[in-house]
Amino acid sequence: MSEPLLIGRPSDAALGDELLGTTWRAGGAGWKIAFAITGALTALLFALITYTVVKGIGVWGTNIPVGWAFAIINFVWWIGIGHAGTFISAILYLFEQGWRTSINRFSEAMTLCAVLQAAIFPVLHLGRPWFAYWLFPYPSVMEVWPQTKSALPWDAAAVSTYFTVSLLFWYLGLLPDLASLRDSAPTRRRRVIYGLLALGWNGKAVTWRHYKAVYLVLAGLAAPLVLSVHSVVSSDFAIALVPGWHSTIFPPYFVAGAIFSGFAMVITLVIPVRRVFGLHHVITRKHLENCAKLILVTGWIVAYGYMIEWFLDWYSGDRAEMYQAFVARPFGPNKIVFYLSMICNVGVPQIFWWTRARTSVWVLWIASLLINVGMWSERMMIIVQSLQREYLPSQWGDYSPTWVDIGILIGTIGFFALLFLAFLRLLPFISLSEMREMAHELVKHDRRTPAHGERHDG
Amino acid sequence: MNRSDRSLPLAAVDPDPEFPPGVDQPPAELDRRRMIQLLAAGAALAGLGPIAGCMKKPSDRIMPRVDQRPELTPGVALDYATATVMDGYATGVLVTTHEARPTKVEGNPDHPASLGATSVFDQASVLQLYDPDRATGALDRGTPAELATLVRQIAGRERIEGLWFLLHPQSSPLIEDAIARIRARHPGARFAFDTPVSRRAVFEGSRLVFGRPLEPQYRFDRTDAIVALDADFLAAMPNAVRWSRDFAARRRIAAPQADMSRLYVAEPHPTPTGSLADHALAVRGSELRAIAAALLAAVEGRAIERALPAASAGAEGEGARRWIAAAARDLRTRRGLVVVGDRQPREVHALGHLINQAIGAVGSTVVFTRPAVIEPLGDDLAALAAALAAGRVQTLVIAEANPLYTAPPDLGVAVHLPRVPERIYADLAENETSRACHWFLPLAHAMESWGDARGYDGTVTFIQPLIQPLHAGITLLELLSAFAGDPEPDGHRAVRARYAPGTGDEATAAWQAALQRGLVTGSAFALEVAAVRLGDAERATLAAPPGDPAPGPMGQMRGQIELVFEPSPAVYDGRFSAIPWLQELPKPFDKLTWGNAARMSRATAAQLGVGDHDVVRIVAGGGAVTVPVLILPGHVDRCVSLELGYGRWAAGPVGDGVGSNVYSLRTSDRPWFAPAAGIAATGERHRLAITQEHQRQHGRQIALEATLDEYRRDPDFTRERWQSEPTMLAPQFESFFHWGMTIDTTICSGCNACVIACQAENNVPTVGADQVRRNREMHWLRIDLYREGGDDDPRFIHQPMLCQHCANAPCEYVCPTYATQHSPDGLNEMIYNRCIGTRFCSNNCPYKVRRFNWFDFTEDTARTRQLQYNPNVTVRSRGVMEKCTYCVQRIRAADIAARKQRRDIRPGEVVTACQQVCPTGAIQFGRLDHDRTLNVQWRGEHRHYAVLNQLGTRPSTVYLAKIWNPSSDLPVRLDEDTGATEGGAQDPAKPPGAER
Repeated sequence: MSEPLLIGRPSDAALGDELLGTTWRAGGAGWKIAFAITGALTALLFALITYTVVKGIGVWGTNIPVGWAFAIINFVWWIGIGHAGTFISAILYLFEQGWRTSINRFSEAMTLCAVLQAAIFPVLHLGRPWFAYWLFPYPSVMEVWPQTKSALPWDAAAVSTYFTVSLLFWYLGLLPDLASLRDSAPTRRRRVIYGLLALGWNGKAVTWRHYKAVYLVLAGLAAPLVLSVHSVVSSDFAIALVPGWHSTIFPPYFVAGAIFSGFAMVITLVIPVRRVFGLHHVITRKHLENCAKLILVTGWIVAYGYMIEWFLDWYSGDRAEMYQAFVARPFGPNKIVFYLSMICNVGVPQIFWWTRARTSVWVLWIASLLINVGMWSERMMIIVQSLQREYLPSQWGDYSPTWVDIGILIGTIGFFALLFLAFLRLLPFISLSEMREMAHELVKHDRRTPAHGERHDG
Repeated sequence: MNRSDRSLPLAAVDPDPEFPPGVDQPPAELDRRRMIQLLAAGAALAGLGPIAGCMKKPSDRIMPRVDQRPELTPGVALDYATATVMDGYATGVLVTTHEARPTKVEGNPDHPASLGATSVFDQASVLQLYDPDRATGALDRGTPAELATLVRQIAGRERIEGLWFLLHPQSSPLIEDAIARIRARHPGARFAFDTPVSRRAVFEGSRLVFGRPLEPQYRFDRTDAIVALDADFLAAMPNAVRWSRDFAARRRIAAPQADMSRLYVAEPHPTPTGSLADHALAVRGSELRAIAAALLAAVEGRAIERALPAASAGAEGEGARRWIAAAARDLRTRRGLVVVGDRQPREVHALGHLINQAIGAVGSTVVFTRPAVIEPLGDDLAALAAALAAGRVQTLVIAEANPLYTAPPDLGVAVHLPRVPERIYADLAENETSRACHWFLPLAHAMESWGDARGYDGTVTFIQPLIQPLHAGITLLELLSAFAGDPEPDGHRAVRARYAPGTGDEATAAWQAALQRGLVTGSAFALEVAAVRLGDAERATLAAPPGDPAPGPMGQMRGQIELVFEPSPAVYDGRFSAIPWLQELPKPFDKLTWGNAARMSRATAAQLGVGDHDVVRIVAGGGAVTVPVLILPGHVDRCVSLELGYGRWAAGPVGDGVGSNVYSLRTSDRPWFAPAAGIAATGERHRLAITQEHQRQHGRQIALEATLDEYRRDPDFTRERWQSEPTMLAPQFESFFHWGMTIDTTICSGCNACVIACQAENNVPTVGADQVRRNREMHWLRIDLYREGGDDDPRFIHQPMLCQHCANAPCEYVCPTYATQHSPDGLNEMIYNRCIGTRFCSNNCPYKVRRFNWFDFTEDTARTRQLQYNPNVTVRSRGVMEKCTYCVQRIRAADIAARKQRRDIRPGEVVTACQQVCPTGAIQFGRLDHDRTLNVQWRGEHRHYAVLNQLGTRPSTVYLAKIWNPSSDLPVRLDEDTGATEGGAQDPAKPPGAER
């Protein structure tokens, strides 16, 4: 009934050729065009960053009362997207979900690329970005430390920790494959480079043993980070008394939203990659279907978050909160983001109750794009719409982005895509060692069960 | 010269510079080096000493710093008494100078027109001094000329034929002398006095009734019932600053059982005075005559229907009749007073005098003196225009007036003026009219001049220079003296000669004492006996409905839209267009900056099929303008009000092209109210730069109000807005020395003086219209306007809003770098150098009083304007947050002074800029342990409340609820619950205190 995790039983050599070959098989014109477009957008991003730093963040649409807008929306959105990678590679690893194998490397790389995009914004949105390091508890001779009641130093700490652990975890997982690349690379230059990157991996049993232990420890370290990062990010809002921010549901609601958007982004990326590289037998419908199921689950947590917020706004009896929830968001300025979040985050995932939707590549891909849009809109709803309508009506104000805001958002998408394309071209984006392991286990499994070939997860 | 002086290059080059080198260069070409030189020259000037008596022409002896007067200490600011003059009326001011650099204007407490407060325009005059577009030299047909040469040429001429002068109204005794001397030297010389905001109708009105021009001197501090007929006596009339204080004395209610005055206002559009009215009646400007006639009938016990025939028919007339009846009853039974506004024609002023006579107000609540201005003695603009048209003007001298911009087109000044053979123009800066003249003579700013002027009550006030002229300049007095034959006119000499002719030590000491006070004590005019000299026939004509159908009494305008003109509360008649502070000042009721609008009621806008920001084309008086629409609740229907002073085209880069020029719609016979020939939407939109878009409270109980009866019934009606909320947090440490502010909204008229005073004191930048549209204005203090009641009959509450200095400040705990934190004496402090600009504090400030430097606004400020900066306040750079500091620089200065003398800060020693300037005295500040101060006493009143106290922020700024005193004859307009809900989301049964 269910789809297999691996179609066919390829040999080690065949798997190696297929999965490592992506790094040295020449790309066609399509690749060049893709690199050109994403490279241009990246150049746009850095040009606009320079412009912002030179002129001041007045070139953005932020104002008083809307002190935070696109930059923080983009930050939360990209950080959220980054969650799926670690969730897949660490949490699913700890829960021994075998289906993570073919997509974990890929989603970890997505995490790193997304967190890099996210990391631009907390610095860039500052009035004086050159003092961003004051958020860290560095040993200042004046003995001035960050103010730890604020969520922002914790935010800086959480994001940088998350990025560091994600990077280490990803790199550790890469080591055996880097060694394979070193051993099979066609040119000397590549052998040297991959050899350096492989850090002397020798494939001995004792190395494998250490490797497995460290990998497990890192997975254990990374797993709580999945929960902590977005909890801390959510406290940027939850600790404030802004109507629409001041809410204790935010940490779990933000984490769920993050995983929700992260899986959507995994689907958005994996479907074209699988098609371009013809990896339908490695990344099967089973993988996509599992992602869709997780989207449905986390989508419902998000919807529950919305409902609890509405209930508490009503139950609080606070006019400002009620106005925020029931007047400003559905009927106030920028109300489109309210409807987009409701439709895309609550409505769209419901199609995944149907197996046909979960297994249809096109439905999945379009739904995942809509969810990405919806989650971006949700952050705009929370951040911008709340600030537009605070306590004093005299200070109600509207927000609209400038071309710089929009350019920077598009630029980060380009930069993300550029980094991701580079990853696809330079590193094995599916873990060869784990695939080989799984193939062997499936073969063993097949031998034990007479009904050949159609059983699955370990 | 001491060592530090010698290091200044310019001072060393020429020990006796009349003008520091470089100041004669156009400021546009100032480079950085030149700027530093100028600043150094400014510092050098400190050494020369802005000492009273030797400033303007220090040619006799230059005193090095070692010999300077003992009161001059570098780094210590000095205040000098001088005056600002608006259309002839002087307000005594004290100007703060830092190292001979005027930085701030304060009221002169000894001056009767000030009592220590000032208007918006007085505050901004210091920035006018530093206007980078001021003229830098004389021009002869557009080419630079030597001012002294031109002056000698003028002085050398005699018996000029066809000599005309066009001046603003003048009150200076010295100028009066000079005019007499000119008349002697040039027998045919004629003087026209004109301003777009002329008060001739006031004098004509008293001439009609009393037989001679008289100035009414109102005694609001003795008045219990005031009826203002289109009279904005709290903001837009010459003595408004003084009258505000007097009015507040009878209006502010210290305890529920105390008494307060009652105010009736009939006006076409909301004004600061109207916003304090217990009963405001919206009427078209031309209808005031019928209202006044009916009021006269009512106080004399006659039927008002005869005077108000058309009005008595409709429902609209019903409201007016009840208003008149109630007002008349109060006028008769209490100490009453009728005040008629300057815009009204002489007949309404005459009716006002008759009413005051009838109720016994004359001699009690209003007395009369001769006018301070000599305007009524001269010709008016129409006479000049007639002479121009007839070709009788051979030489025309215009000073300060700008007729090519302001004159009604039907006078034809623009056509005939260029035909005058010789045209001489003098003003601070070139403008529309100067471009059409042969000679341009730069006038010196009042802060660079010697002179005198009279206050509203006649008090002679001195004008003394505070700085060397920044550019070559001549004062009006000197210019007129030149025409009187003086080849080297000298204002200083003239002032000394008139007021201190003696030369001995004693005379000098007396003179210096007078200069220190800034005025001649006891020089106010004697009261005049005003006896009504009006025949019964004239009285009958006045009292009967006027025959002229339009502008006619109520009802006759039906179907036709009336235009009402108003001097801008920000740039006045346009003379302040070049001052960015004023351009960016949110006007009291629409909070519009950088421009004017066609303001109208919602019903009128609906009738015209337009909404906010829609551009309409208005045709009237032979002219047509396009102007955006702004709906103004409280505006009378079928009427459009337009502010003068915008749409200039030769005002320099700040003022050019801002708003629409509505002078072209005016006619000379109906300067203030005129029927519109046509109004039509153009289909275009122009987004106006408005700082406050929402005026409803949505039931949130932000600005509280009650009627006097309600207050007496339930004195603690504000209890839910001051009682502490239960908290789980540990009590915040609070020291004994805690600063706090109290603001009484009952007497706040929203005049905006505090906004500009704060801006001047604290180096607050302006940002321009585009940034205001993006909600990026920088005012540390704003006046929030809340509106209760219906759109036709709104009640306004002005709530000055500044940093509340919360004890539990929401901004403090979210700052990641400790850039905002609490001082031991209860201030919420901002450490600019530590701010990295996350803006989290602003997001979390429920009062939204924090301002962010989105760009380097200081870098964009013209460099001469930077000379105005207060050196005691940090100039903020790009990327940092800023906000009200409770004028911490003043607190710390007092603290240092007290410590040096080993004593505590005395009660009343620290006065914030907003408190100091407030005309009504609505703002009080001080330390909370100084319990004999007004600040602490006010906080103990029943009606005090804290804005948003339900959030537990515990603000140090406390407000007093607005108390209304409606007549029992008219329905009480307040809703049962002051927090009437509009959003509808709140359960009405729920007590508001249950929130949060």
